[in-house]
Amino acid sequence: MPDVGLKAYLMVAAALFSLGMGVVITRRNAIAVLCGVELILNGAALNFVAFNRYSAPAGRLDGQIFTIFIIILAAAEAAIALAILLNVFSITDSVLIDEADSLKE
Amino acid sequence: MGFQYANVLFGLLFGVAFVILNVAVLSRILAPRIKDPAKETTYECGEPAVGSAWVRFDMRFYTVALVFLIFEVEVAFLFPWAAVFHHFSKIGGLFAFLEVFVFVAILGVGLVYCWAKGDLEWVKSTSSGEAAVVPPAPRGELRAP
Amino acid sequence: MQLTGDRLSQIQDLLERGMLGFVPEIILSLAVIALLLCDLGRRRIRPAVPGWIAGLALGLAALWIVVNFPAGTSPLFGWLEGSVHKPLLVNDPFAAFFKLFVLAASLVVLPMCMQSPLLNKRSTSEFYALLVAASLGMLIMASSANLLMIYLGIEFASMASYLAVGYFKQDRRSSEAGLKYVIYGSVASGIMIFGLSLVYGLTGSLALDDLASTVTASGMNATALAVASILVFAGFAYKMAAFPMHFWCPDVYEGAPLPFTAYLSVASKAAGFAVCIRFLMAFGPEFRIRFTDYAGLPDGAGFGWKEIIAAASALSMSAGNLAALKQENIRRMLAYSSIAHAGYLLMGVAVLKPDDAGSEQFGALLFYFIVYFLMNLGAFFVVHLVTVRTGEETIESYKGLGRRAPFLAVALTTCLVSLLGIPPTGGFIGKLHLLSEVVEGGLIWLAVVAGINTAISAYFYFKLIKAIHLDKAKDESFPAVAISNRLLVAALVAPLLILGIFFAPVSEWTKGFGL
Repeated sequence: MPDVGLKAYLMVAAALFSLGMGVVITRRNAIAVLCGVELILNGAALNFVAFNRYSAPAGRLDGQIFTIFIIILAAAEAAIALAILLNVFSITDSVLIDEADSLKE
Repeated sequence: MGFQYANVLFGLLFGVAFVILNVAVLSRILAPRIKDPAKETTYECGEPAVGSAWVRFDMRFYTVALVFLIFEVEVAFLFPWAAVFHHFSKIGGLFAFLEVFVFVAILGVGLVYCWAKGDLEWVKSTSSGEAAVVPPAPRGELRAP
Repeated sequence: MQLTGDRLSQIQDLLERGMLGFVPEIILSLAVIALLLCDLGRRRIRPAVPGWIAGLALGLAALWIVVNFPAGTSPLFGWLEGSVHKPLLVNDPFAAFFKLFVLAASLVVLPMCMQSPLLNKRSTSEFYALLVAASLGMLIMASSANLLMIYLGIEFASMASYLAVGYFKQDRRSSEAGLKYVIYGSVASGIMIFGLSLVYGLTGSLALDDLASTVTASGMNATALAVASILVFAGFAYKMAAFPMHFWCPDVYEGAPLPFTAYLSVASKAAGFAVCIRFLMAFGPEFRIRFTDYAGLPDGAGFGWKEIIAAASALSMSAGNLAALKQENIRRMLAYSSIAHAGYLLMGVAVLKPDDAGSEQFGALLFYFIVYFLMNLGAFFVVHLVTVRTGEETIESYKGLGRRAPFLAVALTTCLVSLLGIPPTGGFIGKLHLLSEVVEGGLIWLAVVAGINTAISAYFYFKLIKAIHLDKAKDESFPAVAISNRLLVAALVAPLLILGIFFAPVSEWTKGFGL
């Protein structure tokens, strides 16, 4: 199996990041926005793992460790965001961000 | 080099032809065709299908799922620790053990907190101490997005 | 990789020694656990108890830092490369300054929490646990010397803040503020983490120490590094509520529990600045993207951190001050004012230099931080006292405060005058120092922008001052303010006036905390 090289990983990661940003910018549904954030984080995690494999000094696992932290913090962040969102949903009956408009100038 | 891919191409062509032959041609010739309304419905584990698939789930599922998510993912921290712990056991390893013990203890505090607050119970008790009667989950249909 | 017994002992030694420098954080962690367990007892504890526990822990942590004030830089945790210690955290005067800053802000906010009628409606130890946890995250932010710790510290502080902002579960405004905060926050941290991954890839290390050496090394793709750093800066700007990521600020400040708004506007911002400054200083002063690498552009053209920060600074203050002009809610007005102040503070960051000669610049910046602490917390404290008594937050409701509550009115006026930056207050001296450093640093245009912005901001600060002192109130009555609260307000406002006249010792003192 030939090695696809660092560039391929970086391109996939950049694509994930761009897709995530696109979702974040265009979607009104808060849950969809959180999915977009998840894509961004996975892009970053892929970057870390790929860089660790290709360009870090031998024997160091910084990128791998960082990826574990990204996965765990992403889960924690998603849990907090969903908890707050559930609470907003039980008050306003909506998960659309632009309907959360009681704070306006 | 390029010749090796001929195998792949041949396999691919064969596979596509095989599927088309079976699904589109042989099944028409061989399979009996008896119409039955039950066959047309969605398969739901043998249960009769009720309503649309776009029902709103009970909020309590989410609470349990959130709690599960946190604890399940936190355990991932234990794997790297387990991978290096046997090295530390060579020099005693008490410190490494205590560190992970503290970590698990903090998780335990989180679990106890969750438990005592009643978030793990299906029928959550209210502050007055009586079990609240939670209405059944709404089965109303939600618009497909 | 084979771990030999020798190396293992080294690692264990680093961990054990690191624990000694980690005492304030350990105290706060224990306090968070204690506060959570407080909530579980069968008997209801008295509402003041969690507040005292939190206060005790924060006070102890602050005391420990004061007693063991670091004279130099001592690295904590991390790993050894040969004989070079690559730390995860560092204990230096700069970190200690910001740690004390954050702890002091939480200690000032505590009495506000304990008096807030909304907060005391239900069991509050959860809220104090979140407050202490946020402080713990900010302590880590202030001392992080590693990309991983930067990420962890920011996330730790953010997550506790998200929950504290949305703490009033029944209140629609608080919940929506929490939702906005968490959505903006997770997007910002996602962008930051992507930037961090690129920085890691370009430098091959997570240690900030390695950044400077690899940045100046030949063959470094400066453009890629610049893009990565700008992505990282987005995460910092979010914590600082500075220009590209400031949109959350007014909504969150309006909807959050008022004591926590005060806390966010001071502690969270300072921690964001601390981590940002440390990251920028790691690049070293030489970091510039030279356009001469590309054909067809004039020689020597290019930009570096200085220009990026200066642009963010100018845009923050303009965006903040212009939007503040039409605000009718005092919390939103103070939110936009805090965005503008992020701009003023960034102005000081733009001219920082990491060497010894830079202590002048650090002195001016940290002096402004002290002044900002006093004037912003002072203003929020008075707003808190008024809101608790009148239940209103509009500027309208401040009419005639001068006659209804002269003490509070004078205190709030002093804070506003200082926020505007006119003598004889600390705000004037602070801004003067900053502007002179900016002019000396060659960013004259930025100083001009800051001057114009100060003139613009005079409109809305004076609008409020006019409402307080000149307008007539509909209702002249005002419930009395307890002597303890008066003392606390005085403790915040009096130093502001003193710093306006007698500033030299403090501005000398702050020079010692540079990186």
